[in-house]
Amino acid sequence: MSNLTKFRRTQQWLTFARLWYLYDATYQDVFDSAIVIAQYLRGMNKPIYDHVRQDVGNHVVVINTSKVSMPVDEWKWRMYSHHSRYGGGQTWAAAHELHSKDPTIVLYKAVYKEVGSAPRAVNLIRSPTMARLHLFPDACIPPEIKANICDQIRQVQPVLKSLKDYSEEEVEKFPKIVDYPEDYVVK
Amino acid sequence: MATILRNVNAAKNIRDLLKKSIEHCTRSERGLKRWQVDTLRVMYWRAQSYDAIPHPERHRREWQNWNYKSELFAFSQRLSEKFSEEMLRVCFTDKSYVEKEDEQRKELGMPEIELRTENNSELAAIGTNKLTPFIKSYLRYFLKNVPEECISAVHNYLMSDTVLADIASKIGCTQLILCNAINPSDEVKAQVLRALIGALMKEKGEKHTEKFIIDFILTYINDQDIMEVWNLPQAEIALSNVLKNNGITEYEPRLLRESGRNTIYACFMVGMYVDKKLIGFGSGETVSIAREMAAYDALRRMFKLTPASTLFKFGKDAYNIDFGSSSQEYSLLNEWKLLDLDRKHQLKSIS
Repeated sequence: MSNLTKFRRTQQWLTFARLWYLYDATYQDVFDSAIVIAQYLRGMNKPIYDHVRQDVGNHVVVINTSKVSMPVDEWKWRMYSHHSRYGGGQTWAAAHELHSKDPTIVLYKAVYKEVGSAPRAVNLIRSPTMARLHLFPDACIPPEIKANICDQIRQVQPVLKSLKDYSEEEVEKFPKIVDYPEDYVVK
Repeated sequence: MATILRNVNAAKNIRDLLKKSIEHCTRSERGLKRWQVDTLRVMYWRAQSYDAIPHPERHRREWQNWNYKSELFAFSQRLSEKFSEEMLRVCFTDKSYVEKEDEQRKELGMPEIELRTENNSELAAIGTNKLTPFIKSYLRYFLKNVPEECISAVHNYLMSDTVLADIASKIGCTQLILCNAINPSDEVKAQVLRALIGALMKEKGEKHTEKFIIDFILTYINDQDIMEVWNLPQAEIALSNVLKNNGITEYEPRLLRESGRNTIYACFMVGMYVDKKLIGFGSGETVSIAREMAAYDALRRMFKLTPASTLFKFGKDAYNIDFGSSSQEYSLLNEWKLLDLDRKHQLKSIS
């Protein structure tokens, strides 16, 4: 660094800066989100990214991980195993069980798989890469982490509104095709 | 005990010990083949007696097939310059070489015999006198929007011993130089290059020398960042001075982007605004450094020293340009102003 002039030095600092991204996981598919998050974690969105062994990754702060979604019945059918390394120590848990115990672990495991699913060399930088992932079950972020964030990642799917998100006025204004007959009993 | 003593006695004669170890290797089963042994033995003793021992450094001229005259001829042929041989000999003779020769003669008791007393210092002085004004006027011709400090900084860089010595070694001067050391120092090499230019001035005239300087000296700044060569200190103070000279008293540094504020690799980007127009931006690990670099960038744009706008001409394109027209000095940084015609364009917003 000592041979660099101040201009070159700051230019390099800017080029290799680790950026902090925010990702809102509300109603987002876990596995699709994990692919996108892993790309940002490994720095694949940067033009300087060239090879899996390069350590040019970013930080990603994920909020609302308790609200992630899975397709169809995946919560029920996807099993996560754990081995305590004692005889007969293997246990299995369905995704929804795991999610109810720790609302960040399902997304963590999905990202962990995506980060390491490239060639073996990635495993060398896997743990430092995963250390740059910050998961929060709700929208509360510690202020010291919140101050670092500079940008956000586009969500993988649009957030749909449920009926309770609409106000009563909006519901009333919604055009109706038919009215119930007067003697109709709504269950 | 007896065996140890025997070993020690044997170890006294290292040569024998090594011989024995080789024999031990070759004797063992599945060891070396018979046809390898002789070769390896010869190689080993050659290494012990010659290759592996440090030799004193020797100049190329100590070898028998060194022909200084033909080397000098080849030198001028390489450069496509027709130096006379006598002139080249003077160019390559350093002062230290003459002094050393004289001392040797005195030691040998024959001080009255002086074979060569001329050295290159006179020619070098002629060369310097040509180089300095020509380099400056060349730079002024292509860098029209800079203060005089920039011109003299680039000139000093090109005239520094390191640069001139680098050029001299790249055109093959190193082994031809006669000085008191085997490897000539940078000062000596630079002196030789200056002397070569002085020799050209004497033999070929001014115009020809200018072509030589364009081809060999000035090409050194091709592709270099002039702003880095200049290395302007305290950019923000300079920027405020320059703006003041142009009647602008206020400028505003603003934070454009930032990331990782609470980490050790925080990165900030600051923009310099004049009249709500962005005139330059820079980055750094702290806000103050980024601010300094933003001023640096704004100055770079004002002086038109961005890589895209510094376009020097070399070779045939530059031979017929009249550089004499740009011999007048520019104003210093404290008094520097934007050119009137350009003022509107130069301070326009970047984005």
